[in-house]
Amino acid sequence: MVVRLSGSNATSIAQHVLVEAYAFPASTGARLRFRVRDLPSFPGWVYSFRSPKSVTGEDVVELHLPGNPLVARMLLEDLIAHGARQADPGEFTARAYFNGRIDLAQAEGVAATIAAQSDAQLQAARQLLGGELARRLRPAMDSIAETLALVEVGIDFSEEDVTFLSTEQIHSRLDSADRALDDLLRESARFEDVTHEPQIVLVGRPNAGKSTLLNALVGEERAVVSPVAGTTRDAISAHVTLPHGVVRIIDVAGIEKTSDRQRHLSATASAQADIDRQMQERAQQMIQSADRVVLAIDPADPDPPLDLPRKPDLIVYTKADLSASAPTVHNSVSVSALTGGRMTELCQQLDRLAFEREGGQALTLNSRHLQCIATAREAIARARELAQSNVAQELLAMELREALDAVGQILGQVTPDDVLGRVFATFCIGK
Amino acid sequence: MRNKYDIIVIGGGHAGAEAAWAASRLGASTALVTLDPTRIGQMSCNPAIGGLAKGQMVREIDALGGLMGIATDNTGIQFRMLNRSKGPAVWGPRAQADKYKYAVEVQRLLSTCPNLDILNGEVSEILTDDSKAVRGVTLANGARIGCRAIIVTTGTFLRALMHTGEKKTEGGRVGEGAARGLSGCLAKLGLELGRLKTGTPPRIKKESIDFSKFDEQLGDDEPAPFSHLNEYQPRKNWAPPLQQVSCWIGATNQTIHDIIRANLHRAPMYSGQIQSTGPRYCPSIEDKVVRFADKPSHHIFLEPEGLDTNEIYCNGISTSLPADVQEQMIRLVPGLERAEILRYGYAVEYDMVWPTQIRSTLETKAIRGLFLAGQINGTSGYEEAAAQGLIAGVNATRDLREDSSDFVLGRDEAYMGVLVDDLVTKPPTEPYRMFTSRAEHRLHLRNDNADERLTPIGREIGLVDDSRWAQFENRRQQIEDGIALLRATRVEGVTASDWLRRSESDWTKLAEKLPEARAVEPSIARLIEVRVKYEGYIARQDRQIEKFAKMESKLIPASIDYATVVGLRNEAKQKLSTFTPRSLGQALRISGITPADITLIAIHLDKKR
Repeated sequence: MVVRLSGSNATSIAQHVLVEAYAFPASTGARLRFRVRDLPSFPGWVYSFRSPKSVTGEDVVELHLPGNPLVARMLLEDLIAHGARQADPGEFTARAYFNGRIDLAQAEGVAATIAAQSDAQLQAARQLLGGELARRLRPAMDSIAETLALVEVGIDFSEEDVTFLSTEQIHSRLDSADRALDDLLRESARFEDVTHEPQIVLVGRPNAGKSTLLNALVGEERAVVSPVAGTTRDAISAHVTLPHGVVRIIDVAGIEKTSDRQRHLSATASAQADIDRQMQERAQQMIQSADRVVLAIDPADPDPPLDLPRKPDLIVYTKADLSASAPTVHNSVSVSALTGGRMTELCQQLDRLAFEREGGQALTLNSRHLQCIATAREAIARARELAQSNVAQELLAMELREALDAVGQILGQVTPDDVLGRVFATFCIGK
Repeated sequence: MRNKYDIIVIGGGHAGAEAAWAASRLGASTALVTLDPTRIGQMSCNPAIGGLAKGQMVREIDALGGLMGIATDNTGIQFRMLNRSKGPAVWGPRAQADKYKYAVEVQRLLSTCPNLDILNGEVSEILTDDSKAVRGVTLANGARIGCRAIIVTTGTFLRALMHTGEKKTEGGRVGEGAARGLSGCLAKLGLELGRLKTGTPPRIKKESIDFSKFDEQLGDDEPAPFSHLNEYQPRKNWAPPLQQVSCWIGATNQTIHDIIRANLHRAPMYSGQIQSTGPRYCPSIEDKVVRFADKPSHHIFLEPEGLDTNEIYCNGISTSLPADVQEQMIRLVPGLERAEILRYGYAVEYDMVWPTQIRSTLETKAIRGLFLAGQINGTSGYEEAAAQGLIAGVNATRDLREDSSDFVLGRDEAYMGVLVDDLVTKPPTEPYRMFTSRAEHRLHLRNDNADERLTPIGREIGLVDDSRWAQFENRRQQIEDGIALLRATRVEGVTASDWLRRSESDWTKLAEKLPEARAVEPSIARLIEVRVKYEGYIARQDRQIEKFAKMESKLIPASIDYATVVGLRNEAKQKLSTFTPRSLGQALRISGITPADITLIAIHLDKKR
């Protein structure tokens, strides 16, 4: 069990729970004895990292304790009594960002990790966190910044003895920056794709056992279950945790032709028929828009297959406990929600349907990133046009500045000082 | 000599002259105290005023009613509009001035000021009272003069030390002394001092130069004046009063570079004799040779220092190498084989006050009534100094009248605003020089519209007299009429202004299609064309910066206690307490302050309301 302290008082507060005085040397681990209230002292590891070389950029002390929750809680209370406080969610990340240890994209990665609901999201978050986005974006940003620096040389130091950029050189630089951004877009998944919660619609004839199935997947009574067909009058949905993440399973109202329904229910008030029709329409829409469609079939049902607006991704033969004679069809599984028979296999199938994607390693961009990159590319396109003429250098610089600011929204701003710094490093300026 | 003034200006360089000009003309009884009254307005380094971004600043000073533009027009011996091949937003007027006549002209202009006394002396102490407000000064001769505000413009003279090779001389300029006592006094008042370095090249005797081996550089055929007063003359091109001369361009070579390399150990910057930082944009020739070793040659610009002097300024080869090395290298420049050095180049180290300790009014935060302007704030350049002098002069005067508000120009109003804002938010690590790329509102901060931007402000603060104001209003009306005409008239199915905005259009082509356009005076037509062409871009630039402007208008009261802002990081608390930004926008420009910090302060301020 690890307790982590960060801040300028981290070491002095940590000292209170140690038996002996300790210097907390930088980037060092030591086996020391802990003292917590009146408990007998016990050994553990203390790792100390000094500012700025720590994860948050502040002094950080990690206390590694034996895994006893009660001891940990008492120790935590002791630390708080001596001036520590519990971190807010994401506070370590926020501090790391504020102290310049990670860039904005990395910080967003951490926030996404905390909120991640699926492996794919976690993977995406890890890549952001590792600075993958920064690593991929940096060359484009450098290219724009360098071009701007060269254009600024032409404006601010036109009297100097330096060679200025030709139109062709500006074009080729802008092209390469634009290409880098374009590559990034093409090779990236949309963060919305991975943060999107997969929707699986469960369809089937009335009394095909959908609600029982849903209840079994959720592990709690969700849908009202009764042997009367048509009990589920409206869509019922529930979150189901699968091996790779959480999906939403929607149990739509029984899909059937009006004639079917009339066989089961004799009351046919026109109002009722109207409600039924509306429900049917909604069900059809849900099937159309769902990520996946799962068709539940009672093998004992003698009626012909349902006419669905799209082909189901998986067929589930229900009530395997009642009938052992389910047909073996491709993409199908036969289960008994009541006895739990082959439910694990169903979960794996659903998991595959919901989370399998091609080349799932892609870097992911959220809508803010996309917006920034799009703004940058538009500015670069305008810059390309302006670069045709030598007169409009100051307008060219304005477009490049806009492109740089847009990318800077992701990686942090490039200031005029940074641009001038590039100029002075590259050119011999000064009469 | 009186024993009491409203304002005492210490130093008579470009900051001091402008400060004394502004303060006395605004009605404050003012004394300018200088080590040598004959050196007031002296050009210590190159004999030129203006240039890129700097030229725009001189136009701004003039538009506000300052003196630098008038003095330059009256003593310029070569006028050139730089960047003329680029868009008008980045045109920068530059003039070679006769440095002796320039100083005399500044002294003449100051002599016309009511309420101004020029005092010869060295200020050795600044006197304050218990409430940390200035009370007066003590001179080195023991005399005491009372005052309510002091503007310190000491340039390179504070604890100044000149270096030529191993030779060290006390003094801020060749043949002149240093201000020794004042540094200690400023430190005693609680100000934290830094040290900077700058350099100057050798001056050569004109008759010893073979100009045939240099390329001649002529001034513009139609010189453009710095002062709007000269520009306002209707239907008549302004002509400089002095005879116009040429500059000359030559180059160094590998043999010279070898000699420099062989003697680097004798250069104070390399031997460790000088530790302070010099400007990256104005490196010494030894710096150029070391840092850009693969460059086979560097330009040398020969600039005459005046009409009646034989001194030629060798721009481009500032150096602090020993005299014998300077002799050797100069004689290896083609055309300078027989050159006679009149004055050796030298580096000068001087004290400055870290500008985190001043407000945007240029008043020190620690001492009420104590203002700093020019190189003491870490800047470089005559124009940067003059701009600060004017700002300090106006604010010191307004300080006397308790009800007056601060005179602070925005980053979107003037380069002068960018200058001050940069100084108080980003402590300079090298002498600060203005570049157009420092201004995010560059398209708006133009040479051609300086009066439109600033003359109304100058009128409000009281520096623009009735005559200038009437001429300005006349000009503004003509421009507005022209723009109204373009908006109301159609050419080829679009408004004339839309037609003119097209990249392939210009006024001459418009005049072919639109008889009314032919009636507009050419100088006014040029101004209208620039405005129309940039209009769309400036609107877009403004939108880009709009958020910023909102932050700019959210002022932070001086009474704020950052320690009580909930959630603010300690680092941010410390920085903000040190810099005491005047607005949220300014706070965000302080290095290390994040948008999250700004949000917290905004919430804090909202809660207080």
